[in-house]
Amino acid sequence: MYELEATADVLLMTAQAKPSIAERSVEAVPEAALVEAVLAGNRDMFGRLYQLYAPLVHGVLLARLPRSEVEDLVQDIFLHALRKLHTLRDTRAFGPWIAMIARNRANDFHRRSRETVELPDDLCSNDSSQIKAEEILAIIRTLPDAYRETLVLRLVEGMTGPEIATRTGLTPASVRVNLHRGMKLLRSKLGFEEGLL
Amino acid sequence: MNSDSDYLWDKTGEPDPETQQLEEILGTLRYQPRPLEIPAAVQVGRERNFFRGSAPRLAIAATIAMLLLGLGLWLGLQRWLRSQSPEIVKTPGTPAVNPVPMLEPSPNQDQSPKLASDNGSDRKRIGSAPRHRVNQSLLARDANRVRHEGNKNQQLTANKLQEAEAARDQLILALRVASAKLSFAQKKAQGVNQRDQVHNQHKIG
Repeated sequence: MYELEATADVLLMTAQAKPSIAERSVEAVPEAALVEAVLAGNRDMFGRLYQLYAPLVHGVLLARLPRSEVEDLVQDIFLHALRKLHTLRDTRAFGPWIAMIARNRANDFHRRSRETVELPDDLCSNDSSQIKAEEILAIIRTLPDAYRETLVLRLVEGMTGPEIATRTGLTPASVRVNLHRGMKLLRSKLGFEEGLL
Repeated sequence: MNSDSDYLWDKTGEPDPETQQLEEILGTLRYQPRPLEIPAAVQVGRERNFFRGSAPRLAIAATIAMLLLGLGLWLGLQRWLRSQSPEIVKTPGTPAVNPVPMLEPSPNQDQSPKLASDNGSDRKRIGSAPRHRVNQSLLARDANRVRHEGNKNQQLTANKLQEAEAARDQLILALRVASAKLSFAQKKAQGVNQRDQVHNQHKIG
C-alpha cells in the first residue's frame, strides 16, 4: 500500500516536472528573439525584457541588499545590461546573465559600503505587516546564498519553482532542493523567533 | 512528496497554511513595476570584435595556408635539386662528385662533350671505372635524360645526397616549428575566447 502511494507520488512528480521543461524551451525562444531584436537596434524590445526580468533582478537584490537600495539598482542594472548586451554570447541566456550581474552588483555594494549600520527601511512606518515582512526578510538573509535567493523569488516575487529554474538557469532539481531545504531552515529559524507568525 | 511540497514547488496541490502566510506577508515587498527610463545617450548595438569572434577560424586558415606554403617550398626544392643534379656532376672544384675529370682532363672531353658520345674510341676506353662514370653523365645530359634517369641518380655523390637530406630535414624542422607556433596561437586564441565567455558571465558594472 505504501509502495503504491510512493510510486504514485514519484509519477506525479515526474508528470509535473515535464511541463516545466517544455515551458522552459517555449520561453527561451522569445527571450532570444527579444535580445536579437534589441541588438538589431530595436530599443523598445528591451522594455519587454525589462518587464520579464525585473522581478528576477529585484528578488536577487532583495535577498542581499536593503530594500531602499534595490529599486534604483534594478534600473541601473538594466541600463548596464543594455549597454553591454553585445557581450552576451548566448542570447538564450539573458536571465542567468542579468542575474549574475545583479549578484555581482550586490557584492560590489557590500564591498563599497564599509561597516554601515542598516536602518529599517520603514523607520516611521506603522504598518505592522510591513515591519513583519522586513523582519522575516532579515531572517531569510541569514540563510545560505542559494536558499535565500530561491526563497525570496518564491515567497516575495511569487515565482513558481519551474519559473525560477528557467529565469536563473539553474536546474529544476537544484531549485527544488534549495526551496525545500531553505524552507526547512526558515521554519526552524522562525520557530525561535517569538510571535513572528 | 506531499501536497505541501507541490504547493511550494509550483503552487499546485493543497496549500500549506504556513507557506501561504509567509507569501502574504512577504508579498508586500514584491517588485512594483516601474517604467524603465533609458537615457538617449545609451547606445545599443553590435560591437562584436571581428577578431574575437573568428579567431579560431583565422588560426585554422593560417595553419592550412602555412602548410600549403611549406609543401610548395618543399616541392620546389625537390624540383630544383632534380634540375641541379647534372650540373652537380660537372661542377668543378667538388672532389666528391667526380674527381676524375678534374684530375685527368682530356682534351676531347673538355672541349666538346658531344664528341665523347660520338667518338667510338673513347667509348672503348671507358672500360675503366672513372672514365666510364664521366662519359655516362655526359651522355645522359646530351642524349636522353629520361632514359638515363637511373644513371643520373647514381652520379649524385654521397656528399650531395647528404646535403639534400640535410636541406630536407631543415625544411621539415621549419615546417614543424611553424606548425607548432600556429597550434600554439590557435590554443591561445581559443583560450582568449573562453576567458571572454567567463568574463561575460561575471561582468559587472
